[in-house]
Amino acid sequence: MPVLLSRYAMATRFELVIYGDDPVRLRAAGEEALDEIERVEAQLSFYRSDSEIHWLNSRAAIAPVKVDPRLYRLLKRCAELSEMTDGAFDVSVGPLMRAWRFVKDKGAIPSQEELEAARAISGMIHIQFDDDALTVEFDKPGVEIDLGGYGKGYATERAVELLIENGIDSALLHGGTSSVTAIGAPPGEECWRIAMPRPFINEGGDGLVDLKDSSLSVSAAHGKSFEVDGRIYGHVIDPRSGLSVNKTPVAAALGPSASLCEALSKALMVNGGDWLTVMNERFPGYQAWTHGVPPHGVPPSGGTIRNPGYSA
Amino acid sequence: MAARVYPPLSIDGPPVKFGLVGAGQWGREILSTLSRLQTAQVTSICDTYEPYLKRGAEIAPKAATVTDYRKLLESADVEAVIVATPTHLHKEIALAALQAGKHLYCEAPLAGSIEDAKAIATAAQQAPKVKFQAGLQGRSNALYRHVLQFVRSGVLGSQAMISGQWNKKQSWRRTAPTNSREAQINWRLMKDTSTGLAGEVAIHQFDFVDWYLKTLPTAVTGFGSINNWRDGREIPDTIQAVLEYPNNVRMIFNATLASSFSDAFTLFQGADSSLMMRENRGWLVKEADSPLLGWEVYARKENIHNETGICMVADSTKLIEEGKEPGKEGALEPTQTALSLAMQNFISSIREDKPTACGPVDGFNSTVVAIRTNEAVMSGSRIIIPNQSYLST
Repeated sequence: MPVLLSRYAMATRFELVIYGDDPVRLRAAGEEALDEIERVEAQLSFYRSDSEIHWLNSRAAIAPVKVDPRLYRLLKRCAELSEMTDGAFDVSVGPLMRAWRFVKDKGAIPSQEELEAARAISGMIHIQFDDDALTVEFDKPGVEIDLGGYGKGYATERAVELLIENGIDSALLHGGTSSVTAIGAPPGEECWRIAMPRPFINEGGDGLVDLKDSSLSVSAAHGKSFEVDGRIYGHVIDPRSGLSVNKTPVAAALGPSASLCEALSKALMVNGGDWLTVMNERFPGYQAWTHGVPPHGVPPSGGTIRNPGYSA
Repeated sequence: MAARVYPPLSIDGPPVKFGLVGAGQWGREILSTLSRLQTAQVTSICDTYEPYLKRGAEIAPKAATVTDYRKLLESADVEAVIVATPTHLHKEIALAALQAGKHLYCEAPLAGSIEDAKAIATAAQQAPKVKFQAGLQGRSNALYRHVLQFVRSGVLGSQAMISGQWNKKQSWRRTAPTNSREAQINWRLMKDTSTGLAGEVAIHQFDFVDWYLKTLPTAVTGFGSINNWRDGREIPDTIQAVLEYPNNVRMIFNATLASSFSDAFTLFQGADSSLMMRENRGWLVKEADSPLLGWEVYARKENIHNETGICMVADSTKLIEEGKEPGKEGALEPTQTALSLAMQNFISSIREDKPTACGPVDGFNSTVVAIRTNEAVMSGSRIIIPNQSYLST
């Protein structure tokens, strides 16, 4: 019998299934892993006023802020991923999201002035790092970091590291069904089989993904959107232009790192399927697809889309 | 000139160089807290378990990592030592640290037995050149310090009773790849190594009461059982205790690992008003016939069941200046948590030669209360605590 654990964190429900011999041990390992997710949430939450991110956002334009080295490395990685995705993945688009009234609001087209003002304080170039002092500084007031598009993958990754360190060799962890990581396979099986719902399935495909020692992250444009003159504006904002884009309604990425899968699926929402070949060159070992475009990239060992549809 | 950096420097002189012994979950919380301070520099971390050492090094990347605490104590690069190992292992390390002339922050309870705790407290008292702080961080909690003035001014009236609880659904169990490591890591579950919920958790609330009322219990009665986690452990997952203080004041305390309901609080009830304190928030509720205080007219109020509670907020003037609403701002930024303030107090007492926020006497006395309570829980009996059990200042 597997042990099942769950915890509310990051405004969603994380669920963990672990197989093994001794349920007492499995539960203990699971609890420690979920504790780490809670710790990461407390550190990274954009909304909690006691989080380190909130502290950073409220201070870093005034003076450099000394942060936990784990957060420092995470932010440096986000800056690196912004570059590697040609600026499509960006954790500093908060001002643009506000200009488009997508923060605690229904969404509206910003005026040209509003858009320019938001663009002037969005982008990783406004975030300065000091590797010696381990401080982070913003070069302008209003700059802010929101790790909402990365935190779940990062938390999942850290939790999985703890599970493996504690000797767990068969488990599945997901956060709100959009980020899932498999350790090994269930007893007697080759791999964990994940079923994706309709919007992620290509014509003729069955939506099944086999996962083993790898992660899958999916992103979708559903959620906030509004219509003006027959055009629908969704909440996917291109950090480079500051405009609402609709390249694909869905994107998914498969590979060894849960946090990278999350960043890639977010970048694909902005860049669209045309960017898949570029992605393959820069991120070997990762496979991804967008709506209507067959999976690109070599399936990572232990991760396969069973019947992707089209002629992949 | 170096740019200003948050948090601002609060001391004259270079950062205090820290060595941490014990990089478990709490030890890492301390490392994380220190990593955000300009006034602290972690130069060495010690743990006997390689994965913990690795996780500690993530938070203190510039620190040396050692598996033998004596190496850490030998280092001239360590001025102050934090002992965050399992409780029953404190004594040897703490005494050696004091012997080596290091400032010492020793986690609470000071030790697993009263004899060991006394040895640490006495050695600290006899080492006048080193600063000693017990890990009872509630004494540094800004809210608790703020509200203390009201309590000491007699706002509660005749003290009627105290109650407290600490509820959290969690197993307390840990796992590791090998059986021997797993036995070590689960020290909190076994009676030879653990001081139970009373020692590992309730000590902070007992210390809070001792500090607020300036008094110590004369007897304690306990109950305990395993109600949920029947997994071979020896330590109860659910306890009750009644602590008897002078002047007929008693505290009833509940703690459980089987339910999370309503979290933790300490409630002081007096004839004029009652005071409910949670970690970052407090409410004062006055009786209808209690004297007017004056300031409560302006204070923010919240409903608690059928009562109106006056929100107790530290630094409310500062919050108003920052455009925030006192009372609503219950959450604390990372450098204002009780643990961070405790570390900042320790650092400034070292650099400015001031008394620490919780010295050997208070640390020892609260350890006595916690250990005696655990004994009462384990035996299901009433234990008298004679006055001579305590140290006096």
